[in-house]
Amino acid sequence: MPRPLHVLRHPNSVYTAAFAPNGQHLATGSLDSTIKLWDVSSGKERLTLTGHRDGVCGLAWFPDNERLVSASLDKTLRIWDAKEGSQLASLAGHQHYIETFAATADAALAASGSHDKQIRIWNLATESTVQTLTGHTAAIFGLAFSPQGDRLASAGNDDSLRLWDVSTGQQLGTFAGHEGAVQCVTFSPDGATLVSGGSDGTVRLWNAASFAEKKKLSGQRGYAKSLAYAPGGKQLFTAGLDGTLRVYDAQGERLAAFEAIHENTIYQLAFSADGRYLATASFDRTIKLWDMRDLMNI
Amino acid sequence: MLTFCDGRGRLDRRDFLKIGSLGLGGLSLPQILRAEQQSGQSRPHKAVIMIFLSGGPPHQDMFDLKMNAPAEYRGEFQPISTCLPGVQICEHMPRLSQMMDKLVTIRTLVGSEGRHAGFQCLTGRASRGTAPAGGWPSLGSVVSKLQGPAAAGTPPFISLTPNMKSRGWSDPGSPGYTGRAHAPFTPNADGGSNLTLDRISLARLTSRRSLMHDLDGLRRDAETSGAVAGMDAYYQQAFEILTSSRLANALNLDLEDDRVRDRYGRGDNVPAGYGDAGPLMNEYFLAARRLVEAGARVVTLSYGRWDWHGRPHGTNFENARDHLPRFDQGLTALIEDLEQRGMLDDVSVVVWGEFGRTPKINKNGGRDHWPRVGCALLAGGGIRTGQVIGSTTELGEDPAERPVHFQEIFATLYHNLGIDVHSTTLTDLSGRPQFLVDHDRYGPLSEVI
Repeated sequence: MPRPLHVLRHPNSVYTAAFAPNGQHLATGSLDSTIKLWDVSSGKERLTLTGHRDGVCGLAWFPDNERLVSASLDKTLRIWDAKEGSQLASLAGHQHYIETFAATADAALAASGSHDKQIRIWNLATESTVQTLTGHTAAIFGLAFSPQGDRLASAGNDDSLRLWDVSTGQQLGTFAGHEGAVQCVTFSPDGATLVSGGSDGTVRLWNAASFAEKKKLSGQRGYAKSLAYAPGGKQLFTAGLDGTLRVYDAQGERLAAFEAIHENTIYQLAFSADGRYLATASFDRTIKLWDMRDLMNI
Repeated sequence: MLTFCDGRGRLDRRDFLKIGSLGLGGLSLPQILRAEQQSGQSRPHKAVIMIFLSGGPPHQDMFDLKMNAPAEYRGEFQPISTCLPGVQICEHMPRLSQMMDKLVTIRTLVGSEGRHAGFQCLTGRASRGTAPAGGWPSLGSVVSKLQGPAAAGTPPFISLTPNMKSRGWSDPGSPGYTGRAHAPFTPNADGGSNLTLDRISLARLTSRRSLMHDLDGLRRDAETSGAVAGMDAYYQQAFEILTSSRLANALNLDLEDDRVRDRYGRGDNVPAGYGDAGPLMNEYFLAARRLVEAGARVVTLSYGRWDWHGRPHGTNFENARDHLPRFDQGLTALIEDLEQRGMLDDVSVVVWGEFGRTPKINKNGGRDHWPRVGCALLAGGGIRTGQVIGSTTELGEDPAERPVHFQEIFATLYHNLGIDVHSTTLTDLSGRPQFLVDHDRYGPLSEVI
């Protein structure tokens, strides 16, 4: 069993983690309403950003490595100066808790999904909503931009998995198959495959163009709460309710499982851009930082 | 903030009168001393430790798992066997499973008014409806009024509950018609400001070194000013109480063996859950034992946040996986510790919340409020433990047999304290006698006494 490089702690459950593009810093967001910035190599806490009035459920860095954007249950997105720890902007619009968040690779656009059943797409440069996507009939649980940033996939507590055109806000189609809420979603790095995890205990691979199911991965205990492809797209990582990290190849064949690496649900998997590190954020109040060489040597 | 020194750091007689009227658990110090003189204080005293699970714990995920119910009711947890034959509890409380012979598990707590507050657990009464002049008093205030202090320097009623955003949960216990003299001493509320001398905060009070330094200075000032010589004997003794270290030592957990602190699980002092409730501070359990040892008769505390409506603040089950192992560790440590010190037969421990939770899991993975039935635990106090009282219907919606009312628990606690609820009355502020519970309907649990 590999050991994490660092175990980082929040006073309360940790919902999200994101590496700075240069890989030097990790940002983590917690139900304690704060964002913490950590030095990746030493595991030392560098800053705590305060201002949100409820849990922080999403984070993304800007390419300059100096600013980041956060999403919170307090219905707002906020932009931060990560060097100074100061808040630069607050973006409001949702009428209820934000539950999930995603951003394009260049952080030009972000998307937030809420218990108000709406998805908002934000232009982070103008700090404004550019699209409001309606159609879900319950809270949004997962969002993912395609690698090109032109499509957005949404997973809902209404048991639906939908695909949207980002520029027009039109729904392009749905992926039918999950029996129960859809908890999480991600795109493969080439954008051809969409992956979703559902309350039915399955992880499903879909053809993102045809909406056809390609493969159903069973073997989860409970449901998957987070999905992530390692940079390069050769491995798919899943994690969720049982605190176990599972690794599959691109075709969905299981490669490894690391049992109970956390004591509670793993809410997010985040890779550093160079693929060297993996961060796992959990409801057990910790973030574990893993060296991918340790994980993949097993 | 109370002040004991003038602007030049000196004491005068008026300052000492302030010392004399300083509420320690509401009682003025001379009252404490007089009561103590009248009652004698060397015999072991009976006490109650009340652990309030603020928010309403899920009975069906802890002590009454419904494994035959449909999935939308059943929940995620598996039952485990206990040391009581045929009795199972949640898998996340393995230590308690081996201590069930020292507990009374009540699966059918009824009578909740359905309000998010500690009031009913503290007083046994609903906050709505007719109340006597002055209001209903909490258990600790009643005991303070009836029995007074058990030991010099320690208030009879202490609440370890800190301030929280949710005021209903941070209620330390109203004195009601017993009067403010019987309000709890609250060292964790307001930063301990109700025991803050001019230069001596509670934080410093718990540091013996700084305490002695400050108090030595205070005493020198007093002697120099001649203030002490002019006081009556009680006030001099009152000053001695303030300068004694009994209470400060009881609150100073650094004086406790590290192995004991580790056994309790220490805990975390940040607000649990959404940030509006009490911390998961297992050391409150340890502090409660130390305070009882030092003479407290009733110690109450709020523990965690059990109001688990579901996402996005975590599902009922994620929160339970977070809280239950810590609760399991802290509560078993307390019971074990009390037993090892020979205190368990004298100290009643009660654990409960304001209501149960909905049998059906909601769309966000939570359980909502369910006043129709809840659960409670009793330990110690000389009662017959090792039994489960009551059972619920198939889905855990209602009692199927032996509903137990809040006031029956109160009557049992009073019984354990040596107070007869059928004959004891206190006078409310209009001069009317008031029984401690509705004794014509509720008495001590016959199964345990």
